[in-house]
Amino acid sequence: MTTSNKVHTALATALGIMAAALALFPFYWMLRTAVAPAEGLTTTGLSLIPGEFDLSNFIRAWDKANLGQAMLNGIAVTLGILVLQLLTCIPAAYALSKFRFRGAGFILGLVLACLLIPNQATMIPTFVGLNLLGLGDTRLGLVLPFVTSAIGIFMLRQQMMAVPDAIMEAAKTDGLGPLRTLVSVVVPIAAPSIAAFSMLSIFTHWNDYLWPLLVARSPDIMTPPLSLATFQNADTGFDYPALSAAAAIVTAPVIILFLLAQRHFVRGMAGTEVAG
Amino acid sequence: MRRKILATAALATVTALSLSACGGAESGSGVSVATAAAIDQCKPEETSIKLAFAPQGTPAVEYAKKVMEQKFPGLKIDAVAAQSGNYSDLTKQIVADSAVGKRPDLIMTGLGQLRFWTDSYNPAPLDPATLPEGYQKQFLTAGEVNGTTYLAPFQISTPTMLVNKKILAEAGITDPASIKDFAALEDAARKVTAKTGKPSINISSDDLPDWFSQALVQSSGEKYVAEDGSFGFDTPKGREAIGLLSRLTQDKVSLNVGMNEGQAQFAAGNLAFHMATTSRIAQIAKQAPKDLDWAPIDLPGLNGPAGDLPAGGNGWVVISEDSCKAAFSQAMITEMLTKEASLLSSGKDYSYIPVNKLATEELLKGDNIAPQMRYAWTYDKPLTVWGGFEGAQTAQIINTVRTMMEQLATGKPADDVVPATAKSINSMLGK
Amino acid sequence: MTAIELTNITKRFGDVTALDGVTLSIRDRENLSILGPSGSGKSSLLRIIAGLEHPDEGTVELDGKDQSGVPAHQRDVSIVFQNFALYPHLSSLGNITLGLRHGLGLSKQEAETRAREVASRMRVEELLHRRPKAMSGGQRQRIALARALARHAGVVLLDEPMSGLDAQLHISLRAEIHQLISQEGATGVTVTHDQQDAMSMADRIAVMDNGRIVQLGTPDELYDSPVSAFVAGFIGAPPMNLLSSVRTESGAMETAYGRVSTDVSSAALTGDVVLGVRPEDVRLGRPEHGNAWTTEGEVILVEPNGPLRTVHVDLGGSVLLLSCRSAERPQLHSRVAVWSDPEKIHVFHGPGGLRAGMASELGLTAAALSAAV
Repeated sequence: MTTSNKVHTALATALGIMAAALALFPFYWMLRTAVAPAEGLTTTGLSLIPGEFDLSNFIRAWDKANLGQAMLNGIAVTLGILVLQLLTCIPAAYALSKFRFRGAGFILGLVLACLLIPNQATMIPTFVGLNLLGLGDTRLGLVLPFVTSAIGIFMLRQQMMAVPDAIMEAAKTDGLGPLRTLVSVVVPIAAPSIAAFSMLSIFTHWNDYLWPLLVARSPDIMTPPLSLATFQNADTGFDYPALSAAAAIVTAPVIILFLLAQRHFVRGMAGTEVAG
Repeated sequence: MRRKILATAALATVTALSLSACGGAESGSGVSVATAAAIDQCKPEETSIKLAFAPQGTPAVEYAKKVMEQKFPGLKIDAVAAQSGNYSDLTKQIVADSAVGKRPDLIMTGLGQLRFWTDSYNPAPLDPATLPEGYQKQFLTAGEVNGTTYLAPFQISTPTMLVNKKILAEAGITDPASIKDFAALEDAARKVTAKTGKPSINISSDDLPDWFSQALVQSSGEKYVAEDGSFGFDTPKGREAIGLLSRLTQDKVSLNVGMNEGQAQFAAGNLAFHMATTSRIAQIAKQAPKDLDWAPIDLPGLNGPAGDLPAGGNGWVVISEDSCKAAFSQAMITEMLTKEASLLSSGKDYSYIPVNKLATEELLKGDNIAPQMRYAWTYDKPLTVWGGFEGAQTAQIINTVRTMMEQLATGKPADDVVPATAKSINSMLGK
Repeated sequence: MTAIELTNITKRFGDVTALDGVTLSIRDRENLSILGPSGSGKSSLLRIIAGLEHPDEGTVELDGKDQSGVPAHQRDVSIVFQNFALYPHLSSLGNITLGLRHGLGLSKQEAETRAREVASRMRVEELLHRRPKAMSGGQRQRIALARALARHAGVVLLDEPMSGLDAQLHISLRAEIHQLISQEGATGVTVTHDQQDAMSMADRIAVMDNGRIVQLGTPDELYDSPVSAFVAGFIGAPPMNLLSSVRTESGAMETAYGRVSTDVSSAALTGDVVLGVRPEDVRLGRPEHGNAWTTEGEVILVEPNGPLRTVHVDLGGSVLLLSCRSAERPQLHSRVAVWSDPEKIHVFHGPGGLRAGMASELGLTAAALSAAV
């Protein structure tokens, strides 16, 4: 290794560490605030290393925001949405990538057009319609508008397009019907994209605030982001230690999930080729 | 963290405005709001009223609900607090509910959003005669639009200047309460900075730019909104008043950080002056170490305090479409403003200004009352409405005002910044 | 044990006619190569036999049974796809057994037994638990072949089986595939654009151009008597020299070999005449006998070609290739005299460049150039 190479490597490493530090600092700060004593937070709160540890914030956060219930609701809603989205997006992407039929281009155009419409624009009509069906303030109401996902269809279609036609024909000569081919061949090959999309969906809906804010009114169907709002008060100030503790509890499952699925996530986002 | 909150707030405002289109259409389509009927003509057993409110109102609401149910047997009161203590979130929920026919009868709203409701929801006027004994009626001006009272202030606050007495004493200023005009304020700030070598004052422009700028303008005796509804303080005096921000920066005494960071610095004993709201006093008292020697003082004005300050906090508005529900809603308001209710809404956990004088007296009877809390509880000067521009452009106007504050905080002279701001706000208002 | 009978197969894709009335009989256990440039329709023909495409007209019969309406997996056919088309998420064993279980309805155990049998015959047992990504190109090709052979189908179709393999592997696999299919007793149909693959693997070769079979024959037949200039140019490496000529008013022709006079037996020649001569039939130096056709030119390139050298000789406009032994190779940029025996010179004529015969049969004689040299 030449000196200039060493310098480059050192520089790259330093930059990488800096980027990681920048990205991780908010998480550190959240944890750091979460263990600060509620009383006198700001006197010790400005130091990088906490002076005292006070884990009571977590208990307060858990009780006051009813986090147990909120997390269960969050899991039910997020997984419900994910399952429904996979059940709709996978077949749609399959049809749009691997079958030639009249109107396929038009349908794909519609899907792409959906990507351009901001969520907020359709939120009110959806909310009105949902209430006409009597689904306001129900868990089903939290799930139903997200039964399918345009970005999901698009992402999975792109990956399925990369499945060579020869593999589809191999499946055909191997006697696999269209559905069997989907399940046994296409889905396993598109698995990185499906995993990436699943992560995306889970993150989005676990963290969604606006829609649950409108739909969920009964305390027993509140989702985690809504329960975090308990600690925010514009007039009298935020309860930062409890808010941070609650945020730590709420983000923990997502972070763990991400760490477990990181490899798939990155691969799926980068879009891997199918090696024959 | 703060960024996220700001982003959420911005999104919230956008959505509230997009939602307001629905609400507006509805009220425009002939659904007029009932004025309250005489309550003795209404049958409580056939009536139910629905409330929408933020969680900080819960103790008083629950108390009043019990009283009402005893007074009017059979009356049903649906009162579940929203999860969020954020007024934009609350507004959004109410607008969304109204859009699907679940319009509440009685709502809590941030005082800054009153014009939104009067402009598109035709709330029922409030009869001050129905308010309970001890209610401080001078606060009702904060709930007035064009001379009619629509809102009863419930949990209110006002801008104040927090001072660190120890730092000031070290710089030779022993009587902070004597700082009444901007010249004295600037002089004190300069003295402290000269002594410590650090910025000595913070007036944030992030969270409540419209409220803080309104306070600085009104305490200097200028109008925030002119008689005809247009931008009110593009006058020599108005520019000089709001120019305080710019002068503080030019003198290098201004810290220029957000509300929460400034509060943290103040509580940590690093800042001589921190512009705040009285409702935060309780929280700062909790956060600050016991030996921090601090006090709230009346917000100074350009030439000494010369006008009423804008009210912050929240109040109740009746938006019922049924005259009997409106009548019971008004009765409910009365019960939420009594001495007992006021103690629950403004007691030791919240340093809101108690709206009922009897509650104030009760609170002051306690032992060991922190002088800072006493300041918040005994504030009894008249307050004006928050903001006051037409409701439809609220979000854009707040953004424009924030930009103005930020520009001033960079040291740009008010003579440049204010006329430009006046021009763009007036054009938004069509003036 | 399967013969294939294709009758009048026509296939159109929109305005493009991919196959234009193809009729072809492939004998049981025969190894047939379909050779042609890309776009000649050879892959479509293979896919129609496999049942992946359906002809617009014409019939496919396997062992005398009409296959119309029979889905791909029910035909007595297995296929080795171009670029192998292995399932990337399955091990070799999974790749081999998937079709056995779904297409042939074997139990898991039967399928695995059969897969191991084939793998052991092909000596690839150690690859059975690897995924395609963990294998080299040659290994993947063997697994793809194993997948096809495990079906025990009467017909094995191979679509460009050698593409993507390096040259060395190419030659050894070529022989191996041929041998395996013969051992299996299956009829093999290979689509390729590589004439050497076709020549070395096939019992017979069908050369396709523009959706038609232009010549069907054994490798030797194709080599020795190509039916057209197209086939002649396609078969053999280096390819046959194709030299155009100009007819003069007197009926003689100006060619690269100088003026060629015609007689009665060449009266049938019509249109443009193209002379074809294989590089190995062009000799350096003075002719050994008087009726040889001679010419001369400048050596512009000498390429190694195995033990031989391919010499490019510029005849003044057209370039003639000849093969010679390394020791005989001329100096670069030197002028050389070359000659060919008219019995080795093919004559093509007419708009299609169809074969007319050899120059000697047609009574063509070249004016002696020896005086000029």
